[in-house]
Amino acid sequence: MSALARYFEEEGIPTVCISLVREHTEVILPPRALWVPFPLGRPLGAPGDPAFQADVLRTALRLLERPDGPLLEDYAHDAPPDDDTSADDGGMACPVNFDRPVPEGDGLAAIEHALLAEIAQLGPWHDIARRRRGGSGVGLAAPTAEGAARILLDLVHAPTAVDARLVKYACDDLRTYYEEAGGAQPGRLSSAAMHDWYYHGTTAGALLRHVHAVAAASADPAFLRLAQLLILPRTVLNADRA
Amino acid sequence: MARLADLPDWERDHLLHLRDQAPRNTTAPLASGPALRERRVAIVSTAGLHRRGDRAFDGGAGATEYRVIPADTPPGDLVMSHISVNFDRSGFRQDPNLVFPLDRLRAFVADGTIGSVADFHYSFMGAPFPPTRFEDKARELAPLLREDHVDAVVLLPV
Repeated sequence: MSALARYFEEEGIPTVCISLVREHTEVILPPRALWVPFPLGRPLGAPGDPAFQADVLRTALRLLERPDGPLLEDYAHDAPPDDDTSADDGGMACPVNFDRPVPEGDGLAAIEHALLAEIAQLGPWHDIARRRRGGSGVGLAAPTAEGAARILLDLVHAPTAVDARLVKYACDDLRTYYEEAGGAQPGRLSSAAMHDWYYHGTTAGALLRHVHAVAAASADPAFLRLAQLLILPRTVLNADRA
Repeated sequence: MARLADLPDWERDHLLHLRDQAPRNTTAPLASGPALRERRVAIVSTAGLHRRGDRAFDGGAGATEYRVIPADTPPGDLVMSHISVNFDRSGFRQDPNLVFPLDRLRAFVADGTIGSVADFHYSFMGAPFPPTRFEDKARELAPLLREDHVDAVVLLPV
């Protein structure tokens, strides 16, 4: 990000960066940057809040009018609370309160059954999300969440038959489907609550642990790389090890 | 939340390790332009975005390539295929403008904050390290931005 800004500026094009990790921006030193105290993945702070996003973006753009530099300014406001837990209308504790425990152990048949039931249960909410958003981000590996789930289940059943890149895209599709559906329901989850729900409270999260175990046991460098970096977040890997 | 002091030790150590491996600069190039209200603005994201049906990003030989996002792309057509799983995506799912604020820029044109919005915007996928790996593609993109009469690029990370 900061390096791109330096290359564009050397080519004569003025730039301004949003910075999420101040310590990185301080070192790489782009011409102009506005550091924002928001979670990684949320450079303008608040989904569904055009006024807040506009204020952040306008503050950054105004750095272009400063003749001096390099500039690294701090945005003065935290993002507004990103959940409804303080509201009086009974904000939801989790997007879908699945009424069955997440299967544990080696019961792949049980996981498959529960996963497909989960996907079906989220279906009406995903329909709403797709209409509201004007489209879904699902579709990297398969057109549907069921198709993505099938790729991952096939991997767990027969590891050598599946392409590593397809597995990565299927993981992304499944997460996209759950987060789009969960985000469409009444009540608004914080990014942390959404993360906890998906990775620790769903059968999809349980399946990902099986996928991770298969990848970690593989002799294929592409699968080992998946296991190290690209299936489960560092937060989940560290929590599981603890 | 992105304050390092607020992160778990292992996450903070990871980010500081990346910082220590990154190139260090003490000066920065500075280009000039007209007043903000006259500028033509393009978005360059590193969120691994593309239009639905365009080639997804991956971590292979093409990891430093960019994707083109025309200004008339509906927000709902944006898909994220960044390879990292270590940042929030739920906000983008709800509201693509959180990450790729084309609608905010259009409003800025309407209220006179900026002059115009570029015809073409771009996304990289910000995982390759060190970031100097992006130099060739950035210099490839610069003439295209100039051809679009862009005189302000706003860069947004995830």
